[in-house]
Amino acid sequence: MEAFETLFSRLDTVSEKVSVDAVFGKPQTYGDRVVIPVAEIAYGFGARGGIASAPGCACEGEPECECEAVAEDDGSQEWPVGGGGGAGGKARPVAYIEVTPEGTRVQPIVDEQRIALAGILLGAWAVGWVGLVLKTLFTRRA
Amino acid sequence: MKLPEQQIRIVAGTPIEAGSQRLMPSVLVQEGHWRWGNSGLYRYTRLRAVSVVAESGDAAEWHEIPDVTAQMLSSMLVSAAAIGVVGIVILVLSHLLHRR
Repeated sequence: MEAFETLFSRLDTVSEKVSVDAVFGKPQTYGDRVVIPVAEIAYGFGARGGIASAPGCACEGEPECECEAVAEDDGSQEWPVGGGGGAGGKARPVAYIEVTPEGTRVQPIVDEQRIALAGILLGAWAVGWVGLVLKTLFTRRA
Repeated sequence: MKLPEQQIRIVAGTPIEAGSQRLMPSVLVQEGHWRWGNSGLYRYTRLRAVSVVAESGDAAEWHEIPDVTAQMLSSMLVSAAAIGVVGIVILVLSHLLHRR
């Protein structure tokens, strides 16, 4: 299990190394304007592992158990080791900061594709409900 | 089974020099951490810019950084829930009136 503990402790410190400054991009200068991109960052990971132990008997202790004798784990036998993990992350533009000699202003960035997709789904949801209500009302009148 | 530990905090970022102004950013950090003894772990982190304070000379100005996309999606979700609730109310009322 030492290998797992080392792996997990290393994974655990990875996220601490990602600085909050990653949210703000490098300032870009265009003439007398400076533009700073701003993003939302999210990431995560998970991992799990295990070492098989001596084979047990599922019905052990039950009256009519016909299970084979359980092998004693004296530590001399090597049991199979398994593990798995995954990680993912995303960065999404949220806004940009524009600095000019007149002042600073924040311009939000709208993800039009997501809004359009959500709008289509909302429209379909609304049409479905209106259809269901009208159908029910007219069916009962008839 | 132990529930995931969550932490939400606002952290000040490194000041950014932009032209004649100095920007002091602040970031919302949301962290979740889950460990299964010594056999596994799950961890996620979400970083989102909250605001920036622009300093020039003696004056300082606070600017909020809104997440317009998330706000619009939330309002759409609320609208969808409202449509569903209104639909259910109409169907229930119709059913009750029909029984009478």
